[in-house]
Amino acid sequence: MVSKAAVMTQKLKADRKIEPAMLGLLLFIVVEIMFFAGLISAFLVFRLSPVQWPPAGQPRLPIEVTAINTVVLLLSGFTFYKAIKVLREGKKGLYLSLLSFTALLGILFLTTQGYEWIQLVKFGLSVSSNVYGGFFYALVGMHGFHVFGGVLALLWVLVRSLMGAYSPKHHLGVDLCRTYWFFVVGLWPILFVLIYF
Amino acid sequence: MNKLTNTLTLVLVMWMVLAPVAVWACPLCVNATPYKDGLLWAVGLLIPVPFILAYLMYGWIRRAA
Repeated sequence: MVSKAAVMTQKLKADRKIEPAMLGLLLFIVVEIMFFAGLISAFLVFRLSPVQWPPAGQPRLPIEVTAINTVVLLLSGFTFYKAIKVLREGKKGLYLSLLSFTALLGILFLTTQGYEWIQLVKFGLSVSSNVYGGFFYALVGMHGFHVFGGVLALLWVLVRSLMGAYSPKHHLGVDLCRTYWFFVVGLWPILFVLIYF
Repeated sequence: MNKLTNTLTLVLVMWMVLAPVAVWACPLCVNATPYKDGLLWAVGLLIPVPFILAYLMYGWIRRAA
């Protein structure tokens, strides 16, 4: 026999308008935005002052490759958006393909960033070389770390999707992952424009 | 106690009158640094961020509920 408390709990869950997990994630993203705003404002102190920036003798940042990489990341945001849309329509095969493609684009972005870092270190730009290097690796590195976390979450959601954990009506995990992914995707163009130009 | 307070106040006032540079230390610092424009923009960026975020969260919760 189901207790009265259990029935009440079920009713409260059914009436719930805001998922606690989503609220928690949004609060986490608010904290992350404050974190990046702090880093960006510290960067602006140097970037917007009439001192030479970047300092003389520093390697040129690869704008073209990073611009293409930006398109890759933005495309991953679009494919994730489409994936959720087709999941709601019940097209599971297409959903899985789009989600896999999103994860692949995320991995491609990270790989390209990693390659770029290796080249820059070879040309002499390191964290400890000067403020320019410190800011570059702090801002781009922290974003890369967040993308890495997003890719792990994406792979986890992909595995759960293959196990049949999500349906057109119940897909909170996918929604959470999408919200976080949109945050990292939306943040990157701002960092790209600030740091590379 | 009152006498001590009065003496300290007098010393501080005399110090400010005789050595005004020490009192204006902060404005002098801001004007002396080459980073003053950057500092202005950085503070200008940071101040509105918490308010914007709080407003967005409030809007989202109100819309969802």
